[in-house]
Amino acid sequence: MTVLEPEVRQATPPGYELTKTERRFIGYHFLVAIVAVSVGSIFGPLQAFEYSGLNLYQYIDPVFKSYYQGLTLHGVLNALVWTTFFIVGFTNLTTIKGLKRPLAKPIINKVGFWTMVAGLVMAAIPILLNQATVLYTFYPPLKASWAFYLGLTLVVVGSWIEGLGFYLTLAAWRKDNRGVRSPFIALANIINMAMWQIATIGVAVEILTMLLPWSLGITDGTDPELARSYFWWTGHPLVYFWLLPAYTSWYGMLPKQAGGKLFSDSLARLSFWMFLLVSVPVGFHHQFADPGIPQVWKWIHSLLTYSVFFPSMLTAFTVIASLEYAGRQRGGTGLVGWVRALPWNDPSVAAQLLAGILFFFGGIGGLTNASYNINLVIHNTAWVPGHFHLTVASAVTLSFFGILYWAVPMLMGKQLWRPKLAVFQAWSWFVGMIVFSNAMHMLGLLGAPRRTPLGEALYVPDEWQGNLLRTSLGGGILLVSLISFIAVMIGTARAPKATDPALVPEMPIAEPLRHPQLTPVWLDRFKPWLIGAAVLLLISYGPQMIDQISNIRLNAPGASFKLW
Amino acid sequence: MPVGAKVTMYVTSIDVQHGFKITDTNINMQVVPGQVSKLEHEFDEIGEFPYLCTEYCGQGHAAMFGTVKVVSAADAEAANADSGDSSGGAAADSTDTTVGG
Repeated sequence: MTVLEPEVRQATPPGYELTKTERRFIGYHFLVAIVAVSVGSIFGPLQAFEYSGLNLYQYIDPVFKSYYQGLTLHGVLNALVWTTFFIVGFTNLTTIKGLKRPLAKPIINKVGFWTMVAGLVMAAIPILLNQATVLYTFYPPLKASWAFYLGLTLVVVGSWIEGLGFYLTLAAWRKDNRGVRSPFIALANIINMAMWQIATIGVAVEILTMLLPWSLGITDGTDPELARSYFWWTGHPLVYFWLLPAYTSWYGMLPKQAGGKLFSDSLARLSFWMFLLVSVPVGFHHQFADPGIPQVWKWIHSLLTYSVFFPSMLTAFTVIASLEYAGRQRGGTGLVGWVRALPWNDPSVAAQLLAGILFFFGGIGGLTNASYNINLVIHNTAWVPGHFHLTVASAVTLSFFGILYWAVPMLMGKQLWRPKLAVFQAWSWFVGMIVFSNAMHMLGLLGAPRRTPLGEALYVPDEWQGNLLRTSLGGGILLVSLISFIAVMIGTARAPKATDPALVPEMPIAEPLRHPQLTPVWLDRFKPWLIGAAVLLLISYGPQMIDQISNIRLNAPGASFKLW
Repeated sequence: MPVGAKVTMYVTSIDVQHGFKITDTNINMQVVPGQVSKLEHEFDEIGEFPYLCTEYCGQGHAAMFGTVKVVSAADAEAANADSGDSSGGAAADSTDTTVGG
């Protein structure tokens, strides 16, 4: 057991007060994110209503040409724009407030942010002009405008540049605080950025070596299977990139909001390092039904995917233990009494607790997807969007909403507008997602394909009808919830400044039960984990990627006419 | 298709990616240009099994479908005889050389 040095036993230094510039800079990230999720989510119910034959797309035809264009916008804005801008903004916040110091080189982060914005505009134009109706997976040889690919690249590159700004800030902090454990919330989100940089190498190579030259007419075709392998190198860790900031909040903030402490600083760190290690070498589990990938690699990635379940279980136990501690501190007793004792009337807490409950079901479904044999039943069916609406659209999005319920008032010096409406928003999202997602899972088991306007498809049997209707019903509830979210955000932005600074929420930072200095030093070092991640990638991806790249054939030009 | 038939399916695409899934079976393939997806399946149940395109492939995606009919051996033979399709072994009942081509 490490003996605490006297200097680290001192009371924690006072918190860092964000400057006006910092608040505005972080606020811009959140503004883009909130606009993206608001516009992107409006299209969700349009798809859900179409399932029961109510095709509202015909009324917006002058602007949006088809179900598929709306679906592309829904996927790109929600899965790529909302998440990335929110996460980078949130990482600014956890880095600055966690390390209690300004960014080391704010200009780097500024360049990164505006690069992301430029990329977003560049990708949005072809989508709105119906020149990039290729959905958010953009599988070649569906060919979008070059501006779409370049725009997405710039969003990713911008996030890399901001990532560099975070590393430099952490390095500067460590130089001044030798021997002290890095504060958890800062370290956690920076680990996430490192994982993201390793993960996005795949899609960067895909776009720069294949899709961009092809869409510019420099090359005649693509290698679609190699493109899929590149894409899923990024595509699966992408979901952990979304999820880990929610975990940062569940581990490092939610316990404080609930009146408790982080149960174990060591377990929290361990789970993040494990995600850095095993998030990426799992992509082939999205390609179980693909030709051109030998079964042995699919099987290895299947096993590695199960290993990701381990840090998620660590999270489930640690977060629930932290919450139980909080509930009992608040006077809750008995087996479930502590659950009732949690502050459910706080919209930020309610949203994140409900997000966690939905994630339980999302996780179970994820294990199903990762199982090689069962995957054949549900691959490319409505089950899959049913699954990820419980993960990215619930666990992640509802948690991010919960974070915004304190972050937006804090950054603007205000109080949250209509907190009861925000609590209603969390519950209606919860109920809407249960209805929607359950119906989508059922449809998938019955054989309904994903990404398809089932309202107009000619092959829909009667036994799907009840679930199609429930999908629409869930979409309707979610629309009400979304409008509540937008109202709370606009209401907060328009509210007058708080009369008393004490009424403005503070950033919740949970203290661990044990002093973080007692956390082993190997849980505070990047090097061994980065080396481990590289070795694991080399083993799990190396041979097959070398095989596919050395046999590359750019022989798929796609259709000779526009397909949508 | 006669019940009990063991079929090896080879599927590919000349334009963009598609999905080939036969409902109520384990046949589910990503169809990728430049590759051939192969799967073997024994149809051991009589019935009609719809197959659908399960990957977005453009505006006509929702209209790509068909049905596999698994029938008794006797029905299969009769059907082959009726269709005059040379692949079923029911030899030329026609002089039209384009039939069964």
